Amino acid sequence: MSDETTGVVAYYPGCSAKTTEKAYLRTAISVLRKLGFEPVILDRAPCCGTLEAELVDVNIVRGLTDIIMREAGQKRLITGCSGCYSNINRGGGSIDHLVKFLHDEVGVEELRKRVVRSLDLKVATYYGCQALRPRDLAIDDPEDPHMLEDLMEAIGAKPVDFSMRLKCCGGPLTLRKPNVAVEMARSVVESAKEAGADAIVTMCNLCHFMLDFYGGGSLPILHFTQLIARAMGSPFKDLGLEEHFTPVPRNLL
Amino acid sequence: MILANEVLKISGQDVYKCFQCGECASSCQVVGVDDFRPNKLVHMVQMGMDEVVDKRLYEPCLHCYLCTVRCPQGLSFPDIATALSNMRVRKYGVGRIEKAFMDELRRRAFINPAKVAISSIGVLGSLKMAGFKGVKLAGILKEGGGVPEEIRREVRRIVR
Repeated sequence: MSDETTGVVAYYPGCSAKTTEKAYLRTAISVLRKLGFEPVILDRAPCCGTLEAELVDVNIVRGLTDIIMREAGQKRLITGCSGCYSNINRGGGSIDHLVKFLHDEVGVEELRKRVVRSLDLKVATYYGCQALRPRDLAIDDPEDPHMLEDLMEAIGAKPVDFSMRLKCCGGPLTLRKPNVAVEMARSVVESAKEAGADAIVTMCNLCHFMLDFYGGGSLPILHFTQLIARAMGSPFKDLGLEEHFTPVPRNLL
Repeated sequence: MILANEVLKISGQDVYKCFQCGECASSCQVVGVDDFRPNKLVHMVQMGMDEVVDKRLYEPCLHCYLCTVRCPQGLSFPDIATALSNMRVRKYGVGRIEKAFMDELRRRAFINPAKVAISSIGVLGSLKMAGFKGVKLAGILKEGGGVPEEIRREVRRIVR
């Protein structure tokens, strides 16, 4: 398990965090370091296979998971991507989600103490699917989760309730039914906008990409780690907000 | 092999447990897309109707697992859909979309989401979708993931 004395943890970024979601990886690592951990990025490890490989042959996912677990060695393994989280655990590996790690092992109260710049914005906390379901992989109550709201409240942000909070971003259908996928991504953003949010906060590479790229552009889509990093003192320019497809107003954070 | 038995073997899901309560369909975000309805497909598997596989009727399933947490019989439709998809690949080989994805996985042990986006909605569609920001995709296209050759070799043995 984790090395309690040194705080060394292995961080599995997922393919998107090496490409479209680099800002997620950067801010996740920054938050872990600020909290006293020594994250080692598993950049040699292969893709988890995603749902696509599973649909071809479930054994591919098991094989890829074996390599990923070997690359992690004895280190505690964490990811910020709900898709990778699901695939690796389903493939016989053992990996924690960053949201649960911060919530349960760092703790909401500890995080609150580390805030140097309390944020003041209304956030639509978007969970998506793979970190909540199926039940044996749920980091929180599958139908009534609170971890992401707890983390956001600790840094001053105000969560708003919205109808698509636990629904799918459409990601799995982008290849085969792009029109349906785009419609789903847009409905998530619209639902958050109707609820009065200033931004949507995501906890998954693919959810972020779907909402940021296909979501219609009416709300900024932020990685939850970008908000935590900002609240813990990261300068605006280190958040990677200019890398997003949907522009983020400078005065938002 | 009987359809239901093959599903059981691949996924551990016993479709005969389903008693058609319809909770899955009422939880499903894509019910009605191409006439998709999880409980209907489970019934067809019970009846041994091969067209579920042959016509890829399972394909709209998002694998969001909302039906799974609500099923009173503890069944997981997404896992049934995965089994049906695996069976289709065994019977007919991988389709065009799966092939593009698997080729990329085999080549680099990595999937570039920009490539996936462009292959799904095309270059023009991508530009239209994200406005001028769509040009950002072009810069990301060249990213190869950086997985070292020895691990790529291992992955090629797994992804055939």
